[in-house]
Amino acid sequence: MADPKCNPEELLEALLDGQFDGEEQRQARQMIEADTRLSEQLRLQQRIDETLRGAFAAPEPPPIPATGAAAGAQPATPAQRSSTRRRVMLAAVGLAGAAAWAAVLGPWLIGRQQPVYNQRLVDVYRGVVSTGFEPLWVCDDDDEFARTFRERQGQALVLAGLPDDVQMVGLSYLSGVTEQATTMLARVGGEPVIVVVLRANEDPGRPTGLDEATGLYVHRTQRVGLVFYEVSPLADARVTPSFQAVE
Amino acid sequence: MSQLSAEEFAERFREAYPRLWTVAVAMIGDKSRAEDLVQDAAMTAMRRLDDFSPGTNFAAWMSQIVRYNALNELKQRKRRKSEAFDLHAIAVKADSSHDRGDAAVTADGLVRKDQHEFDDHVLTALDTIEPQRRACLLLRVVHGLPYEEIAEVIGVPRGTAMSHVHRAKAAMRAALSRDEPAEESREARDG
Repeated sequence: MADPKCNPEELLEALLDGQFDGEEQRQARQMIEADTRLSEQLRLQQRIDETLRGAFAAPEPPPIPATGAAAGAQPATPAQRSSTRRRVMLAAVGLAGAAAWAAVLGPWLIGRQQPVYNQRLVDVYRGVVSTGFEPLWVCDDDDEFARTFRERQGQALVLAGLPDDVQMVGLSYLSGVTEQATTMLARVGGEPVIVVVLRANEDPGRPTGLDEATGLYVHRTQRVGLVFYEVSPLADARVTPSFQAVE
Repeated sequence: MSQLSAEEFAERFREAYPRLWTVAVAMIGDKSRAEDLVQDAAMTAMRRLDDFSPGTNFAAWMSQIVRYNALNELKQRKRRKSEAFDLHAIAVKADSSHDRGDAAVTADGLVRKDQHEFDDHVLTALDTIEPQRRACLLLRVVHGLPYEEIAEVIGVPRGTAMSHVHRAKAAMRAALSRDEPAEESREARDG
């Protein structure tokens, strides 16, 4: 049952969160209704939620590449036309991609499911390099950089004292690593290097050292509750030492 | 090598779109740009399908691309200094469906004469909330996502997602409580 001794604010949050069912919900509501301030807060939150739902209802998805074209896309409404150019581009990229995949890769794709998060880091590295080694986000603001790691890894990080031949390219996101890892792309002496940062308790324990098949090194460092993997053609980790924890 | 076909991509994109749009609008505060931002992210994603590992969370992967794109855009805006972040003004202006008329009717049948004013205050309060927290709040309230899913989409632990939602709600209530007279005094005022 709803605990009458619990903090009233917690009770309110729990009720708003839908954490109670049936009889518990009735009791919690009764307790809150008995308190003028809490009952006002409850009604206020319900009204706020109603406004948010009205103001932020998501629009219909745009025509989907490949499937949209095959099904015969509906004519765009005036509201949809604002983004027609992008959608056409999206569809074109999608159709070209679909054709290429179907022709070249189709037979190979069937039944080839890799285990989740089991991509080798050297393969992740090669994938990023083969697609142009482009970051998703170039972060040149130290505060923003620190905040990204604090939010994702629970520890704010900055890069301090980068050697002259080390250049941060930007941040990316590689789903095959783990969903909560943050990946940084860098260049050391012009060579592409990736650094994957994740919480130590989420580290699946990747193979480290030289991968003879690719000639790439996987360096692993653990500190401040985080694990840093640096994948590089170089025998030493050159980027990881520059990560410093900050408040 | 990617194992996601174009058809699979399209299907997953369609499914994830409402959440991605919500993340985009929470980050940049511009509904029409949010649509473009998600589509830009889709194009980026299609070029970089090798970065996606089938079996992992597609919406989380796409959401990260959306958020990075949003951060890039915010950085460019900051440099240009030509357009202030104004979720409030843009959200109201861009959403014609948000026009509730002069009097809105609530679920309990009460007519809200002050609905427009209240909506303005809600959006103003929302504008003061940090973008990631705002995204958590909207994913919870608008889409009713469980905290586990919010955590995956935003890329934070579940507890952080929950904390963001609770703090955002509390901040909204605090701001609205300052703005809004108590029911009794409003009734007295309205006579």
